[in-house]
Amino acid sequence: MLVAVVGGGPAGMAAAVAAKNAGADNVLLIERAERLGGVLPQCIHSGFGLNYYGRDLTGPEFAEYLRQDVMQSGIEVWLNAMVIEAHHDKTLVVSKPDGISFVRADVIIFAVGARERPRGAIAIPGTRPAGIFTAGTAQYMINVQGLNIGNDVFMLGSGDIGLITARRLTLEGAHVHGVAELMPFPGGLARNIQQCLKDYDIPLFLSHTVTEVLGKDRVEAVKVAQMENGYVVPGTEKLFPVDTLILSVGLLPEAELIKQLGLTILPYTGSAAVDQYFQTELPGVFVVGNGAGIWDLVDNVATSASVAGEASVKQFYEPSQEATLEPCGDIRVVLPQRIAIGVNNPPRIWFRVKRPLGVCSVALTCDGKTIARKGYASLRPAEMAEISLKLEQYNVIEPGDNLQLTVTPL
Amino acid sequence: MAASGGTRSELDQIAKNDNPINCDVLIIGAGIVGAAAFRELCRYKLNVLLVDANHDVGGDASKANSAILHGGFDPNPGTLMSKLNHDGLALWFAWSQELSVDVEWTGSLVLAFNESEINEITRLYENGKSVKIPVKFLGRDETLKREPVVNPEVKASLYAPVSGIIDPFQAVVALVGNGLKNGGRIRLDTRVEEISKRSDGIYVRTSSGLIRTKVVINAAGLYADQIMRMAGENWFSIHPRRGQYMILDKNVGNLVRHVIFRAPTSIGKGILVSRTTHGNLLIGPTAEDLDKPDKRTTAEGLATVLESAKALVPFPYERFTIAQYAGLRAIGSIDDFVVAHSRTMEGLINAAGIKSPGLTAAPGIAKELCNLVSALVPLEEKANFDPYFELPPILRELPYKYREELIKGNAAFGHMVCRCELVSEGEIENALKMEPPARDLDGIKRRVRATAGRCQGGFCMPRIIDIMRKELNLPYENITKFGNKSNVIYGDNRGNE
Repeated sequence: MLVAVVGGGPAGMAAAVAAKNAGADNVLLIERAERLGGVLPQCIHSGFGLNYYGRDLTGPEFAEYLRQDVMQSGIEVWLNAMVIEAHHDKTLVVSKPDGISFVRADVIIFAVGARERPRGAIAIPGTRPAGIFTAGTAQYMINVQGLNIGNDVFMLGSGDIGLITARRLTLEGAHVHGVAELMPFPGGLARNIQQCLKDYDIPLFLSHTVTEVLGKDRVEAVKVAQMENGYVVPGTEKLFPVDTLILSVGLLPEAELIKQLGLTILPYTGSAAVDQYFQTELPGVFVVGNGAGIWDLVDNVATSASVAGEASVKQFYEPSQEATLEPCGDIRVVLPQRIAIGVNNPPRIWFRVKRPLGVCSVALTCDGKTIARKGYASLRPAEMAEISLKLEQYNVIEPGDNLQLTVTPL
Repeated sequence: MAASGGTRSELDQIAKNDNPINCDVLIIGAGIVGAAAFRELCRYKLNVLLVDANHDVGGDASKANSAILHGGFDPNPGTLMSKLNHDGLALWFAWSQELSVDVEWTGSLVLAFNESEINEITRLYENGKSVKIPVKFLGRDETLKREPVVNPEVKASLYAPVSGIIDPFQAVVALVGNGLKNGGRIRLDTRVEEISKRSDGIYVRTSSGLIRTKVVINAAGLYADQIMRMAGENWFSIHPRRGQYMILDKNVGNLVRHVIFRAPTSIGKGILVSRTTHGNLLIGPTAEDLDKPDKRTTAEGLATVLESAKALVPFPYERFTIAQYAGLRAIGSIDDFVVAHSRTMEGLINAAGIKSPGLTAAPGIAKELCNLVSALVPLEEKANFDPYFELPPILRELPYKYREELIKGNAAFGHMVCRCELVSEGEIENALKMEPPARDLDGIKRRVRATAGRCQGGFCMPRIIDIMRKELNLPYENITKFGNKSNVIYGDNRGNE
């Protein structure tokens, strides 16, 4: 039995190791970059691994721990190898420096990660000079390539990668003039707002956006304005004389290969619907990590991908034996979106909310009937929250049920 | 060399002191018109030099336009524009094959939504008939049958089967590449500053040296009137008309089969919805008359593009947009192309006011320019002229067998760098080595598509920079997006390696 894992980031490595440990004969890990780790090697800050390894690690350390696990498990690793096609019969076409390979797998686990939304996705008007980077690209150039990419910087979006890059740029000697966030609340984790912006006196402009990029050859300035209902509030435009604009305006699953398989793509995740084992509607095809939906912490990614890796070597259920689950109201995203029935292992449901909420109650319902309920002191869009179903709650769910996840402020 | 100012006497001084570069024909402007003229003139036993102020070929308008081969029913019959549109369209059939330029004859539909637009497409129908272009008038049902996604409010349309889409930048690269292959020369980053006629030729002072030539072809696009004024020719002026566009993800590239236009208005052919030869969807352009060049996109302009495209083909375009840009059309003070000998300086030939359908007409303009050149210098065809040009291989278009062979020859062809457009390191190396070569990130993007995809270089741009550094032996600080001062990186913090 061959388990092919596409992507050697934290999700792919964790899934590959779990598959091997669960008894897969052969596990092949295919990574497009020159090293394993995905984005971890560029995340040189700490805060990783507290749940998964029980210690505080930097990104490169976490990657190295996982890489050691991979190496010790007897997993075959292909580097500089990019899957260029995925077929319904679980054949992968891989381009690598020694040729084109056709991999006929029994199981495919897509751990393809995410890409950053570029300027064009949000259509910022103005000129098209050099000096506009997405936050992750900037982070790679600063931390891996060791380059100075800007001296005076403005940032749009307050996602975690952006916040960490703002701090990093400051430590590298750049002047970060400010961070604008279109929403009335920050996009990143509370700890990052404190540790990356407040601690360095970087101003955060909520309900603001960049309305124009100026500069012929290199960015010369950006116009920033307060926004209300999608419109500029007159008189609030400010000009920031910067040479660099960093964008941290969201991640999208890199789901192009998954789309080639003809799987249904959910509009709210941008990827295929998965069950609690991260299996798609095509048996033997799994999607884990940011490729399935955007996670908050790498620990959660590794943990959930391990579930998939282990499950991938076992046959669990008939595909028809499942219920569906969808997010409602202030719930933005839910994972899984399908629930396999008849497995003696009740699922864990992950979700994110659309806006910050105080004390609230989250309910899993079916036709108005509540199956499970959990209270929270607060929920934030940046954080992924979870409900673990109890066996008796899980056993109530019938094949064909359409479940809903809702949140009610208390 | 003095960078600016300059009187006649200064120029004489320089001519004495500097050894000028000599040529028979100097072409100013490496846009589609200059490139087509370059290719055609390199057929002959002439010393041809192509100059451009920019860091790469492709001019300004030639790399930011609708990428359409127009059917030729739009210009008024009897105009030079009508004739050259017609000639150019016919020549693109042959040229696209000789030069391996991506052209697809998709056909176009001009939609009419009301009485006055029906009158307008009726006029276009008659135009087309009078210049012998195949056009058909379609009613509502036929229109919707041919293109089911158009706004069902449509009343009628004009169908022109012989029109299509082209990769305009690739066309420029292929034309210039073919000219270079046949002995032509090129100088980029070369801005023309002064032109003067002397007994032994025309002297052209540029930002990178003095040039002495027998013939000058002015294909300076938006700046053609400035070149004319340098030759004392003041009857013609140009102003920029900005067109803003949005490019959408390849996932929705097949929304339409044809190029979809709206019935034209007095200031242009209206907003179109079209697939590009790369498979993206393109919507735009606006038509904004400006006093001076300004390639900014604006919130209002992009909103107009969206609104107008939705009126043609209802679709949530904003969810799939990956890039926006603006191009500037050169709008002359007369409503026709100027392709003629200068009125004031013998030896200068102007190709000015080349707005839409300039891209379509370019081969026709080039042939016309050759005719005009023949009145000044004899044209004798080279025995060994090679009409063919092939771009370096694009791996995603090749069968696996050929990819394997390429990879065996150079492992870099197996190493994929750009995920979105599936571009290998070997293709990027080729882009840097080919003639004319890519010299910056945009040059690579336009030649081989890396960074042109849905992530716009988020993954591959830093890796391309490493490849450029290695292949061109450039320090990081000298790598630019499009030449000039568009440096991407300010410094290398790694210290000594």
